[in-house]
Amino acid sequence: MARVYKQLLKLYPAEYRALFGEEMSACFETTAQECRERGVFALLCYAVLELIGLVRAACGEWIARLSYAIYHSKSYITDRCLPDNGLMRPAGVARSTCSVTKTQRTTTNDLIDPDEMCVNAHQRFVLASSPRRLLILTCATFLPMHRR
Amino acid sequence: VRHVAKQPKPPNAKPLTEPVLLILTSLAECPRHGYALIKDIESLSDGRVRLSTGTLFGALRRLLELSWIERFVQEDTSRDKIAYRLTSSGRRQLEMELNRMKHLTRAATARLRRSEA
Repeated sequence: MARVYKQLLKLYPAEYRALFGEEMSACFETTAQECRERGVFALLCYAVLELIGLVRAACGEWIARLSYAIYHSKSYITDRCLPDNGLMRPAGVARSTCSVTKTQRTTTNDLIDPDEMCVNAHQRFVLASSPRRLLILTCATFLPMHRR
Repeated sequence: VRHVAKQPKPPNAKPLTEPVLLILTSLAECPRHGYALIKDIESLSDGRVRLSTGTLFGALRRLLELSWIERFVQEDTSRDKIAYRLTSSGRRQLEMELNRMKHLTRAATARLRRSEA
C-alpha cells in the first residue's frame, strides 16, 4: 500500500513532491500501520479517504501552480498592465534628458500596496486568491477587456 | 491612475479555515511533525476532524508561504524528523482569530439571552 501511495504522490507537482514527499509517505505509513491493527475495514476506509484527500489536494496544487506560472509569464504583465508611472517620461522633458532607465522598473513586490488598495489590474491580480486569479485569467482569455 | 473608492482592509482579515485554525492551535503548544499534528488535531476536535495527509500538507505549504509557521529538523527524537513551529506572525494571526471568535461568541450569547428574556 505504501508503494501505491508513493506512486500516487506523482500526481503532485515535482517541487511539492521534493519538499513534502518523504514526510507524506512516512505519515501515511505510520497511520496505515495503526489502522491495520484495528482491522481490514478500518484500513480500507482510511485508504479511500486518503485517496480522495490526495487527489483533491493535488488538483489544488496544480491550479495554484498553473495560475502562478501564467501570471508570471511576461506576456501577461505587458499586455494587461496599466502604464508604469515610474517609466513614463514627464511632459515637457526631452527623451535624451529623461533619466528614467530600465533599471528603475518596479518589480512585482513593489506593486503590492500594504493597505491592499488596488489601483490597476496588475495589482488586483497580485492580491487575488488562487481561485480568483484563475477566474481573472479565464475572463482575460475570453473577454479581453484589459488589453491595450 | 484609476482611483478606487475602497476602504483599506487589514491584511488577512478573512476568517481562518478550520484545518488552518486547528493546525495553528496545535502548534501553539509545541512544535510538531506531520503525524503528531494529525493525532493532536483529532484529539483537539474530539475525533470530529481527521485531516488526510494531502489536506494537512497542502495547508502546511500555504502556512509556510505566509511565514506563519517554519520548518526545522527536530534532533531530539530517535529519528531526525522535520517538524513545524509557529512564528511570531502565526501566533499573532491565531490571537486575532481567537479575538474575533470571542467577540462573535459574546454577541451570540447576548442575543440568545435577550430572546429568552
